[in-house]
Amino acid sequence: MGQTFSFANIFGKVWGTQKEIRILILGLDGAGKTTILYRLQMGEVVTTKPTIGFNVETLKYKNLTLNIWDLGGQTSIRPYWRCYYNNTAAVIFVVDSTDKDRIDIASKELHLMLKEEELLDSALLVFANKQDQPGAMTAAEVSQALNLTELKDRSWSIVASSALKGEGLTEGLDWLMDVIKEEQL
Amino acid sequence: MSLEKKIRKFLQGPRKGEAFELKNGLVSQYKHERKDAIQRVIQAMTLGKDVSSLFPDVLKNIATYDLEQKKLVYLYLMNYATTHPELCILAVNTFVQDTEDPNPLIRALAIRTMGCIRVQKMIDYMEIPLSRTLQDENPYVRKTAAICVAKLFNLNPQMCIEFGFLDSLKKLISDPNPSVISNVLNALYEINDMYISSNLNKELKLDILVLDYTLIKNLLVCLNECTEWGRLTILKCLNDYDSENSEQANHIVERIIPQLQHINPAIVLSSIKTILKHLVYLQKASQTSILKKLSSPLVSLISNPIPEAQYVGLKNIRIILEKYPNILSKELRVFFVKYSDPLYLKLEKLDIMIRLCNENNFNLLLNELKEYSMEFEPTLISKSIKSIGSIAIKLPTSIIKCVNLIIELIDLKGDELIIDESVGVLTMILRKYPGKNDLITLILPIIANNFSHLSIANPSYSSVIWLLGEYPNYFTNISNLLNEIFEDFNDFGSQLKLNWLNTIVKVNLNSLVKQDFSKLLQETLTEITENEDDVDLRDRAYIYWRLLSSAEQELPKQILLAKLPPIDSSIETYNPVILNDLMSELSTLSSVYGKPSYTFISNQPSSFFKSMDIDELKAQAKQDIIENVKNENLLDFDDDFEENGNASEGASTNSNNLLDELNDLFSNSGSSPASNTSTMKSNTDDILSLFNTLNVTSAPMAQPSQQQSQSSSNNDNKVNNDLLDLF
Repeated sequence: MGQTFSFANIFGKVWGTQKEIRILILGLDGAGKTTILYRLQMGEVVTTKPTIGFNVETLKYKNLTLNIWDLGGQTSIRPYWRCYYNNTAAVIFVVDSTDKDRIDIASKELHLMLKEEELLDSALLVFANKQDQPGAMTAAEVSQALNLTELKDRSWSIVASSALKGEGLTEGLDWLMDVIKEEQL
Repeated sequence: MSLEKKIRKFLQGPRKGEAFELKNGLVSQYKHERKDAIQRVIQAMTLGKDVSSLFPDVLKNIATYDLEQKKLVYLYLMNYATTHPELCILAVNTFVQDTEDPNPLIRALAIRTMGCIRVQKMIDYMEIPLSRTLQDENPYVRKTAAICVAKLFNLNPQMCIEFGFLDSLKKLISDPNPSVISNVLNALYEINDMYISSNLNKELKLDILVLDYTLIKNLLVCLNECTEWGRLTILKCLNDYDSENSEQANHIVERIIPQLQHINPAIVLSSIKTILKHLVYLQKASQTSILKKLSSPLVSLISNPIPEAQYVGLKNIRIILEKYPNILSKELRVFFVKYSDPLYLKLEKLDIMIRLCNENNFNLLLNELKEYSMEFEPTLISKSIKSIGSIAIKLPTSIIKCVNLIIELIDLKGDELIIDESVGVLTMILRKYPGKNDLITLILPIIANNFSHLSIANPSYSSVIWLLGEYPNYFTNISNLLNEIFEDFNDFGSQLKLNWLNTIVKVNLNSLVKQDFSKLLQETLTEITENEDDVDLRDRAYIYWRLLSSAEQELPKQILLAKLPPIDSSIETYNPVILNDLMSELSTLSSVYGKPSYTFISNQPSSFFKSMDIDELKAQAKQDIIENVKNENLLDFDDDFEENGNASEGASTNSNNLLDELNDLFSNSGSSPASNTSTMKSNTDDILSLFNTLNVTSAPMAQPSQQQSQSSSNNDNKVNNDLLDLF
């Protein structure tokens, strides 16, 4: 408890270095959420298994401490996403651009999630992932399929990305940081 | 704000208070606040507060690199997983990742916690982490995973077998690390017990634990390198193995002998047990030399500073002594009672000392017993005096010394307790050596002199009455004594009355008695036949009366003055079958109870009580109430029965009446749910046959009562048993 009142702490609070910013990575199973998380954190591609539960990693990005939560996307786990909505600054929604069959389901899940009261103030970043694959939809196509234009009162953006090649990730994150900094200040 | 939002807000729980604070802390944006909140949650948990509502928020903190925090969250999970079984899967990812962690402590922690989360959904994800940790390079992880297999078997045996965990566990028994081996053994034993008590298909032979000599040799090597728990398990296993020849037995015994020096009494005791088990395969000469080596470890058991541990040691020594009486013959002094011992230790030590007593050391022991008899604890005093008697009965050479000691005790401190016990003991001595004139003349005057100190409440009063009948001519004032005793006749219990009846008859028949006690006899017989309620006693009086009035002169003497066979020993012994069972269960609870385990451990699956839900408990409570009510009924019924039975002596009207009452009783209980009919059948049959003997005509009446009672609940068992006792 003593720690709470120490100088380092007070300074930490003032400059926002210790404060962690919570970001959720959501999306259907197999969209590439875990790969994106570790690509962002370690800068390399790891082999992943379906996430039963969640992964959390902390990373420093542009002087901000980000606490990035990657939640499992399987049907059985989706109901528990809501446990994590509290205090969330931003949501990264990952879509498998090659999976045209399930894009409707992804859209439904996205809009369902955005209706939650706790996420009213969160920014939304959509990654149209797997651009390295042949037959992938473009960012615009994904945006249309997800009905992103319907979103009002929310800062959102869509970025075409490839977690394997590391393309688009930093652009997306940069945009997100700008939005968050604006809101925090 | 819409209605839905209002409801949601309401459901979100309190906005202030401890729970709210903790919840906020757990999802805080600051690392240290989260950790602090977790610590406070665990604190509340250990205090017994229910913090299960914080489950989802605590769970969020499971993925951390902070080992301390991870341990705390795992601890919380183990405690509350069953309150939120569906949320547990959110932890799976972390568990699986942790079982791949470079730190073996984390790998072991993860698999241990996974095993402790007794939730079906978790089991589905255990396959990969468990099989990985079973083959881990680190022995600490392997030994933790081994126990985890047993936990899995407990939750889902089919899955445990199908996924091959049982087989991998069996393979792990040849692991190079002794700690792993002992844990694997432990797990296999657990699984074996669960398998036996489960309702799994027994035809599918699992061969869970096959003991062969190669395994045993391996275990013997491990024995020295294990933890104390590991050694116990290995010793248990060695004890279960039957050596094939004396060479094997010799090897096993020699390897175990160093364990006798261990500081832990449990290991010493288990080692002794295992050595004794394999001893029988050895040759006589080596047997005696090994038995000699066992005496000092046995003594070390009672030099433990904790009295409870000493007690366990003594209980086990007592059993071993019965099998090998000479094993501690030189160690009598060790068992001398210390003034600071608790009473239960003192009594147990006395028990052992009389077993150790022999021609060489009885003088020493008698001196000790004299001291104990002057103590202040009544139980100790009476046990010491009884022990003196036991020594006299065990060693003929010690009789005079023992009797003199008792006389001395009476003179020194002749209170009621000592006199009571002494008279009882002296009577026992006379029963052991019936014909010895010098002994009789020594003992009987003392008893006669001290008789005035006894009242009918003393157990030895009855002994004196018996002695009067047995040795009437040795009592100079017999007529006074008999008259004195008869004055209190109406206060006697049935036992005393019976004793008196025998004595007065014997005194009258004894030709050595010069005086005439026929008046006393006449009064006794009249009193008993006319006013006595006890059927046995009354019948006995009738028989004696008839015998005495018969023309035969010698027959009554032959029957009534026959001598009892002398007693062999007053030291309790176990029946040989039970002794063998106890020897194989040394150093377990059975040796403390002095009963084989099957008498107090049921073979039912251990989950029996868990499976009872609230409805069953309610039903049980209801039955208990019914039972109580019925017991009261039964008491009334007892009285009725006795009166009826006494007054009528086989008159059919009364017993019909009785059967009606019995029917009523059964039809009352017929309303409770049916169960357990098979065991009661025999009981009701007994009742039925009983009625048949009572009155043949009432058999048709008894038939319906049997049918009714079969449909009634298992309380009736008790009712029936009580009825049987009555008859």
